[in-house]
Amino acid sequence: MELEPVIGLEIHVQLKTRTKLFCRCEAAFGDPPNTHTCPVCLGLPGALPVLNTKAVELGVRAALAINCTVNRASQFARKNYFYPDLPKGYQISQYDRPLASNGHLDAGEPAVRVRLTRLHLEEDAGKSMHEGFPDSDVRSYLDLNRCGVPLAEIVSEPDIRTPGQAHDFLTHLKTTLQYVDVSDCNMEEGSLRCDANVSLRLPGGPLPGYKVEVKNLNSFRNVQRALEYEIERQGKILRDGGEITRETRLYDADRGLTSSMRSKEEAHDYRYFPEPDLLPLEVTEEQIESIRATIPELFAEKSKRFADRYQLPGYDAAILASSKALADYFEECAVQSGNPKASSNWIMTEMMRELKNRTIDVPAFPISPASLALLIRRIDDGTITGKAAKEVFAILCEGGGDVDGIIKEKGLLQIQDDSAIEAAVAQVIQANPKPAEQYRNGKTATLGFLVGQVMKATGGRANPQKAGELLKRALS
Amino acid sequence: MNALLFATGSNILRPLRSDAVDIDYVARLAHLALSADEKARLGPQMAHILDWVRQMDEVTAADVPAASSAAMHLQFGRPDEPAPSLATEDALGNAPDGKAGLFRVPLIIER
Ligand SMILES: [Zn+2]
Repeated sequence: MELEPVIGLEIHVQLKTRTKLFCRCEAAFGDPPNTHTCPVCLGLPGALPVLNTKAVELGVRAALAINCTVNRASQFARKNYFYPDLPKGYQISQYDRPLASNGHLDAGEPAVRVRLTRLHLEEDAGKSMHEGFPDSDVRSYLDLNRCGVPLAEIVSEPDIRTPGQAHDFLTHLKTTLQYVDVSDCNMEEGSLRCDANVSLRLPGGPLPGYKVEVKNLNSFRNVQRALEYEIERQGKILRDGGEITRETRLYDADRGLTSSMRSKEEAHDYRYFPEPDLLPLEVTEEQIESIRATIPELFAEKSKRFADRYQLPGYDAAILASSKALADYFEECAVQSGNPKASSNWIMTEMMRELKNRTIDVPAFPISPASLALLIRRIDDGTITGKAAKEVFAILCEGGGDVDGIIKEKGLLQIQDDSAIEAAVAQVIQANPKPAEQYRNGKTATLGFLVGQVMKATGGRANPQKAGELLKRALS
Repeated sequence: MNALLFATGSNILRPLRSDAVDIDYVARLAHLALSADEKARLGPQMAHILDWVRQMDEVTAADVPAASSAAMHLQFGRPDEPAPSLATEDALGNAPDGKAGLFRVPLIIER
């Protein structure tokens, strides 16, 4: 029996505000516990929430970037449940009137459209700790710094069919939200969190009558793995004629499996009702349009434009457009150097390697796009060879000086004088009689080796083409 | 789940019939251990409150938008500027138990 997975995702992203959603405590990450609380976010009696307009703005921005319709009127609602990380006894969220609805993202190759049901605003809960204290067998500890921090919750329709598609979708969503600068989307710091709903059906059949929610997914890779495990598990049960009940399961990354959450922990009946302390939220058409006007060119458009305008392979264009910072870097370098292809090559190989080795992001990269552009121009105008350029690049990476200064200081100017190269050629042929003989006997592949030797002998300053020509002439 | 106090769905504030109040269920959701006496007393009280709220049904016309004349316009919200928070010891001072800058509560997971 062939079965088809039906997958929907729920994503929470922390909006990049300075303060919390309903109070003026700082929304900072990593500070000492319980240093950012006040009567509002502690849920003390009589304290009233006041809405942070920046969070609404960022929510609208996010909604527009994922092609949602922003609802002119929306409403906050109380989601009631008792848990110590929620001191008020309810979370202020949005229920039947969310900030935005009906969006979509096209992700993957070939692109799959994932419809997005809604985007709504809500406040985060505090952080509870159950391990590592002498009395952890009987006590839990709470840090309420995160309590009240603004989140946007994005809910997808069950349009995803494979774990790989889920991964592609999440990657694209993250790129998009980072492009519009609404969230850091850092899963390790918890500024992006994902839960998945998954069930199986006969291919093309009606939606299954159950769904299993999988939580505790702390990386995109784990979302994919957990879904793979869950599809396998559910398939086995269904093929054996069993039934699957609606439940919540936790993913255990170490053991690579999901296990049922105790039913007691999920026995919630949230009893949403309109938040009486907050008026319905209205966003005017003008406000929506003025936010829309600030949305930059997004990934899909940009990678297509890079491929078209700069004549790059689609794969390269997609990598260069994968983050706004990298895309901006590339474009500045391409324009200033007048050589997009070389800019792409330098960025995709040398720069990417440095970023990886140093585990840094583009903004922390020590070479400015203008410097890299100048370096490329110096190759193109014959001042230095590509080999010498790599030496300059390495020095620039260490934060040392400017391109022309380094070329001068290190004596890297390309040898313009043919006689100097001819001397090196003669020397190389004499020192390597065997390869030279092989070349003469028709094994032309040895030329590359000999060119390499000439480059070495000239400290990388010979033009390799010129060296090849002179070698050929000398060996003919 | 039977006998919800409020039905969920688009009409989120729809009290069910008062005799449908399941005081055991409500107490369980609220983490309250009620005695039989309390249940006997509070069940009817709750039903009475709901009956009172139900009068809203008679005056609320479906075509009147919620609080249309008093909506929160974005420009009247609060700017995103931090203000000082409570000192940690003040924040903890209102809680029954705390230690090392953290609130301390009975273990909230099962081991
Ligand atoms: Zn606060």
